[in-house]
Amino acid sequence: MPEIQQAQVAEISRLIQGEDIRVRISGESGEGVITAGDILLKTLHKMRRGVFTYETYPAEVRGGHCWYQVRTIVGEVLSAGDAVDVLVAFNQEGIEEHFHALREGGFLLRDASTHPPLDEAPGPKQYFDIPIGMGQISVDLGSPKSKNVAALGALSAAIGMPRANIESAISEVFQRKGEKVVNQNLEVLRAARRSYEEIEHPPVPDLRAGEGEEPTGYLMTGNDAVVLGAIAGGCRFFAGYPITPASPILEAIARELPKVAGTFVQAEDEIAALGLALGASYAGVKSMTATSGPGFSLMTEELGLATAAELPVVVVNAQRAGPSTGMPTKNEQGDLNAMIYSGHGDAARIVLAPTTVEDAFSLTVEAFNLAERCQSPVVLAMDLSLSQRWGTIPPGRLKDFQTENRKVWDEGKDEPYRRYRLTEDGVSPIAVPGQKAGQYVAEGIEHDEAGAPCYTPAMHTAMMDKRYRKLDLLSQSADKYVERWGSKTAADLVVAWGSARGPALEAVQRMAHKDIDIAVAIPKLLYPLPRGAFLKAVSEAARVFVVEVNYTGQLAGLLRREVQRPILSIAKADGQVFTASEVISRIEKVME
Amino acid sequence: MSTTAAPVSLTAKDYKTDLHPIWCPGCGDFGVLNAIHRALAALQVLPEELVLVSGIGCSSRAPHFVNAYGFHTVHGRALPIATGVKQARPELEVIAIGGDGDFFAIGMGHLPHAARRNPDITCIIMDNEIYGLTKGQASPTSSLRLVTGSTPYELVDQPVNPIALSIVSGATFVARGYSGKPKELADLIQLGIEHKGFSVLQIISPCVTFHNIFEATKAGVRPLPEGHDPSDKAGAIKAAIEGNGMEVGIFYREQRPTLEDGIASQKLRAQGAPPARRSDMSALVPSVVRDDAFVVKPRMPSK
Repeated sequence: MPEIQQAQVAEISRLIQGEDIRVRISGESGEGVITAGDILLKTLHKMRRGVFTYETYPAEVRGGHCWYQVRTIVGEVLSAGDAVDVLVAFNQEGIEEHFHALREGGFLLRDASTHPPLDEAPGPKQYFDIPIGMGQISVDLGSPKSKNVAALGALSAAIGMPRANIESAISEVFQRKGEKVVNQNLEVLRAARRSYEEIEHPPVPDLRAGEGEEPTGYLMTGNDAVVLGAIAGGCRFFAGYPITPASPILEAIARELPKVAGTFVQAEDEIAALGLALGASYAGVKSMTATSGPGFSLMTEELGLATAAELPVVVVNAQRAGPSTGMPTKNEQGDLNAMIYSGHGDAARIVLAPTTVEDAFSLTVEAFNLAERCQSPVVLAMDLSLSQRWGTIPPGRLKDFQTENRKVWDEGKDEPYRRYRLTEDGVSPIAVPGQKAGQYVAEGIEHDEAGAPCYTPAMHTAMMDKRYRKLDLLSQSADKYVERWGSKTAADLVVAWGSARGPALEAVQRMAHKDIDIAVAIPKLLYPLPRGAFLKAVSEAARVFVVEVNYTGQLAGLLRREVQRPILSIAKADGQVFTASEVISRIEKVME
Repeated sequence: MSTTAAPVSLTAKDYKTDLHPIWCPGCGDFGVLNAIHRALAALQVLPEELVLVSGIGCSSRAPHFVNAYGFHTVHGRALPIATGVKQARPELEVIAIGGDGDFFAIGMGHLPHAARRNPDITCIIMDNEIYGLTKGQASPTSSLRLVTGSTPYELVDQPVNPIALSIVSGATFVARGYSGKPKELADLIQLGIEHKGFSVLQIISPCVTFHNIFEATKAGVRPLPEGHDPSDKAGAIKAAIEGNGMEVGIFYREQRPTLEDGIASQKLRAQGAPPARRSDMSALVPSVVRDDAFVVKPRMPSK
């Protein structure tokens, strides 16, 4: 085994096992890194293993460095994982950029044209150095673009992926390009597998497959799940403007809506996008738009209009790193304050935060339900990592949902019709154009019950009460939007939202395993915060750690206003997702 | 167009509401409102099938004074919101209404896009060449050298040309009217509503309080020259550029498919069957995820 650095196999403490494997593929944008990741993902799915992906790419369409990480376990995968077991590098930059992420005893699977990392700071690391002629094999076989497939050949041999599974994944991915391309790639794959098998290599782990004969469940991205959830929730109108990372929602819904007799309009900007959606909602059709930070900022004024005029609408905000243009292809949960509060006047709005791909489906349906029930705008807080990552949805989930419709005015009842009638629950029956004698003016100006402009102190107070009453009632019966794990009497409580749920939950499970008295609570309704199961738990904990990917600790700030308890922020904003180890070390540091 | 004959014919009075306009006595907007009521009566539009969408400003209060569904939105956004209403419910009659600030300043970005999409919406713009509600600042249609609250040393920005702009952008019915002649204006508004496509009606509607140009307007307004051919696009643009802003009538008119037509054809072109049951989204997975290979058929439960 000539390429092993500074150690014999036996001395390397942890060999790769087939239980929990993390692979990172890195290369130049355009070298097929993402395709390789997708094939790997599909192969693992065929093996009935759970997957969690994390990818990052440059803002440029061509050129620049990109990488794709896949973690797989039999069962649910909570996070992208910590140090990687296998680093696949197409070029030298891939090695230099990511060698730090390779764990002790991991495999460095690199193209033979590269050399081992020059800088191993802080100290020498023990690893298996495995050069493979990825580029050479693909050139020799007349398929020079198949360097990524050659890499997969070596990888599949190294981690024990069955040949049949990866070959069928490759056939499926390349089938659109024709039989010749499929066969060329299969040849490259087989040659690279042989090439790995022929060299002296570390023991091949037994990559266990999941139970059953064939995979169950649907593999899709968070954005895909939002689109399915929207159509399930009854969305029949969408307007949007392209923006990373929300554009895939726009493209998929542009394809799907017309098939269900829905309407899609590409707007001239995000202001028009939300305006179009509000117009459609006013006309009685469930509507949505999807954007990211810069577009969300532009929608601010109309969100206030939706609150004042009491119109249902769903706004998906796939967050990315800000401020301003920020880092369009990097992850962040920095828009919480904006999603709840942005805009003038007191007009906080409902914010739902999916934590997984499955949640992205269910909570999009729920967003439509809450918008309809409360006649309010609802923001669905996605983020780049969740929007882009792949995950599975159990097959039953796609038919396990219920939809709600707005309370429509009964013609002839309560005449003359008063659109903004003051009611006990704050919800007033809404008239839809076409309904006789229901004519009213939806208003952004403060108004009386009939909708006529009215500025009296008593009426403004009554209308503010009415609008906030809807939120108060929601917060009182929101236990179903809270996920808890661990002892209900644990001294310390970890709180996380959105995509930070996975690493936080994994961290807490690992800490609890070491007999630390700690539990986790995940609110999926961020505004209004669920009073029962969530705020009560927060107010009863000795200490509360809030894990989130933003600079100032925005949910921590919100909790400090709600409960009198030490709220400790575990926040970071480096454009990446948290790893469980990072969360543990940050919490332990505070605990010391 | 929803000009379904009502069993009892409606008069202009039937389109009025109990709310009295907030406008100053003598405001040009009264004339426009009066003309709208008349045009609606002439067309027998059913109030419950009519939607007026406005922005913010004196003229944007109009939805409260017309017996119809209305949406008084935010400054400048009447057009996208009206477009959303119309695309969601093409059978409704939709009017976008407001002032020169709404459509040519803060909302200017939307006008060319509405024009090129050609939704069947009538856009009624009450142009008083001033910001009235905020008590007299220069607007995008104010004349050069005008002294206002915001231009104490004279306005140096050239005014926009609403007619030329609308034609160039693709509006399919472009006309100018005058509030001082409600009867003629009613006829023009009626034609604008009847037109299938995006109609832009720039209506000179002077402000008596902050920029009183009544006398000059009354003296200057005149019909487009006889023989003006509204089907000649280049000629219409020429007339809009060379005129002095006082010519009233239809500058340009053409017929082309509306946005509703276009969206209906997209729906026809959309391939694939809708999900067999609205209660199960799995049928949509292949086209949403866009890769058949990613779709794994769940094992059928043994029934």
